[in-house]
Amino acid sequence: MGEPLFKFFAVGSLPLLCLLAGCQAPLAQQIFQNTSTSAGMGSAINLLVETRIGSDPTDQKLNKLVVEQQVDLFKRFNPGVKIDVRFITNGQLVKQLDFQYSRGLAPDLILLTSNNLLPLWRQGLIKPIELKPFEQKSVRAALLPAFIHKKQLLGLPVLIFPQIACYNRNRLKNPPAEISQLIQLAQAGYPIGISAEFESLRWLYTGFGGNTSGQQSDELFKSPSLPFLTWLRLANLQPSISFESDQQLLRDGLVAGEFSWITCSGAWLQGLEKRMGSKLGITLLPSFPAGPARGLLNARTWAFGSQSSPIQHELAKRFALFSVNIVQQRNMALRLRSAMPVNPGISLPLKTDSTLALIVEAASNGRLLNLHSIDLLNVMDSNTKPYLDLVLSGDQSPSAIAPKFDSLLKKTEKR
Amino acid sequence: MNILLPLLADFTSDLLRTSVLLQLFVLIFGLILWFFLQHNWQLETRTWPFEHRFKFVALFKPLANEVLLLIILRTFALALYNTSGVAGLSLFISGFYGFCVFTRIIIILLRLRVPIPIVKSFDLSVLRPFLVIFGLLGFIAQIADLPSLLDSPVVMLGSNDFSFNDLLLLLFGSYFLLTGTALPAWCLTWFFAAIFQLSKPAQRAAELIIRYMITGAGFVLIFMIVGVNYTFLAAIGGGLSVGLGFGLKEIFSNFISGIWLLIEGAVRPGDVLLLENGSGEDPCEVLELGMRATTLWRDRDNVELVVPNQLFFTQQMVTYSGVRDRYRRGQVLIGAAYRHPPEQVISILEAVAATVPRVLEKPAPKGLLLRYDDSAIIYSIRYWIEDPMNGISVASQVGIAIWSAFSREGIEIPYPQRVLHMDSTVSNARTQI
Repeated sequence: MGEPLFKFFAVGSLPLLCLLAGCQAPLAQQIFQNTSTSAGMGSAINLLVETRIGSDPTDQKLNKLVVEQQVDLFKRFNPGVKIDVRFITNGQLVKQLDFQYSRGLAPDLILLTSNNLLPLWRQGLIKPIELKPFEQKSVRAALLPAFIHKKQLLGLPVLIFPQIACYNRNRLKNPPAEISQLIQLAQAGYPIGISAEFESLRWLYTGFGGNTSGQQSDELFKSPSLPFLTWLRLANLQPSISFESDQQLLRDGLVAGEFSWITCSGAWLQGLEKRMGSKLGITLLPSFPAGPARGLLNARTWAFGSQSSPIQHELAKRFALFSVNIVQQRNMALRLRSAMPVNPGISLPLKTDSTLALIVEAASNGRLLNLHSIDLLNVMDSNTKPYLDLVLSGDQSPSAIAPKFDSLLKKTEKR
Repeated sequence: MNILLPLLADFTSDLLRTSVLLQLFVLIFGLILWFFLQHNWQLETRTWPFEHRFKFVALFKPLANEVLLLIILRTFALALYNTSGVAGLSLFISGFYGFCVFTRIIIILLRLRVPIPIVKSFDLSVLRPFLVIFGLLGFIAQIADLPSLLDSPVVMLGSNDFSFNDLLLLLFGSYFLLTGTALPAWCLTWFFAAIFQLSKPAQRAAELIIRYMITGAGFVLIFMIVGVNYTFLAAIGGGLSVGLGFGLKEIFSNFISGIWLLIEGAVRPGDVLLLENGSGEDPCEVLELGMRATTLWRDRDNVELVVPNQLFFTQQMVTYSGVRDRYRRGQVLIGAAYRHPPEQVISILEAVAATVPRVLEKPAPKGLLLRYDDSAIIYSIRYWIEDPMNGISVASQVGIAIWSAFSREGIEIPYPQRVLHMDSTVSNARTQI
């Protein structure tokens, strides 16, 4: 009985062995012909593209379309290259990466919706990339340092999505340009929605802390938090201001007319535009006495898989650089009209396209956090939430919470 | 194939990765080691400890080499996983092989309780194809995005958009429904037979009905999962009804007849019957009641007769295994000379029939004087046998026993004879004749 079973297994394994050995089996021949006429051995790469859970289907569809178009274009200019694209939600990303990594088949290139690269790097799921000086010129010089960790470049940004404000044109003729106008607007009865996550509220924290300079500061949380917390309490005293933890509620609320003004991201614009049409208005976040609001910049980033063969890694790098060349960047920016391209050599029709002009201005005002800071901010979000809830619910005064909040921020930063 | 080829092409590209090569190397090294070990240890032929004491040890002995290979592959894969953390492919392959070995163990255990033909059919028609499909899909899931692949649309029929998943379900689901229901049906029948004390033919009928029911329900379920449009099904039904009206009429009639026979219980597998236009004294046993035809076995020449189910509806038939019992009455006709007293002949016949092994004691054999023929008095000895299929052979044995008894007792079995009386008035009559 053992002998026949072994024969059965051996016969079953034959096709695989033939494939591996590259023998004359017809199936193997066909496959190798496929790969050799169009693509050499090793000239196939896998792309894993992260999509946001809860993001608007229109935004998701457009982002998928943009990636697929890039892949098609790259294949057209590089016949013989095979690129397999897989889309995965942010909730499943790490699980999927772990699964593929444990099989030795980690993706060659990962397109992340943020520049939160350090956790992936620590787990060994991604590896650094080396760019030659002329290759570095494809990305604004101010952006690349944010992606360097221990002198290694861990990712390559593709597009920058700024934090902006969205409003309903039919309900609100003049959106607030200054932070004081926001409260006045609420007092006048206009419903306002603000994200309750600390990451999204950071523009208020830095604005009230006076840290609105254009320079990138190494100290992430040096501002005192009392003015920020006091403003939160004041805002929450207005019945028409709502703080929402779920960003989808903000989006849906604006579409449904429950909010007249919300804090939003450039990444939401296409979906909102489709659902609201000409009613949608966009504007910069309200400025502070010390200067303009400095919202967080979210960078869509390429990260490189740690298990790629040298050929695959080189091909992945070529594809990533292809996506940041002048032509691709301009096409993407004009197509999306919601993100700032990273390539500095592009001229955009800012005078004729007011949306794009506003996005570029918001991106110039905003701040792109470095890898360490964004990692901290992610850790901090869960820690700061209880304190923010205490202030917003009115259980404790801002002055009582502020010292604890400052201490928490400093402690987290030191860690 | 158009979907699978790019996947394999991608995988050949990934073969250049160190992480993949290392896993393949570990598996190949394990195979080589196993080859030498199994050659030297001769596990399947050597005597094992407790082999004679515990029967089950000998039962699983043929799987020794497979288990050895499994242990080696699994150990190597786990060692690689613990050292590098990258061994998913080798763990999958060794795990799948382990599953295959496990199914072999199940088959061995099934053979102890379930009829071997059912187990063999289950093994060859269900288990092995299932393992091939399961292994293939499992391997694809390791190297590619299987859910997306399964969701990708493949065929468009009417308003129905069939995905790869639907196609697999329709194709293999139908196949497994048709081939794989024998074992579950047998198990359910075994359960019902234990509760309701079913007779053998009733068990086989119940088994077939359960099979049809599982298959029917399975098809409905598959159509529901696939989401076949009911309008589309109605269109197919319409087309079928036209087909039934012409070409498929006979097939459909036979199918319905088969189901009706099973429900009615008139003809069940295991029954012994005589068809009116059949083979005279040769009864046939019902082997299988198929969807279109019934297979009968004839003892005399060991042939299988395939009779359309419809025939049982249109023709009268004699069954020996009806509602009451399976006993069959046989008889042997014999002539004895006029000079022997009938009481003596009848008692000899009854005594002789009772000595034949397969003749039942109760009801006791019965001898009868049937008629006075030209040459002999014709007697009949009637007896009962348990298995109706043995009618001819028992009749032969009874006939031989009667001949021996008549020889012993001096009872003459006369040749045909005629007594001539000469008319004395006719002169020279003898000479004239």
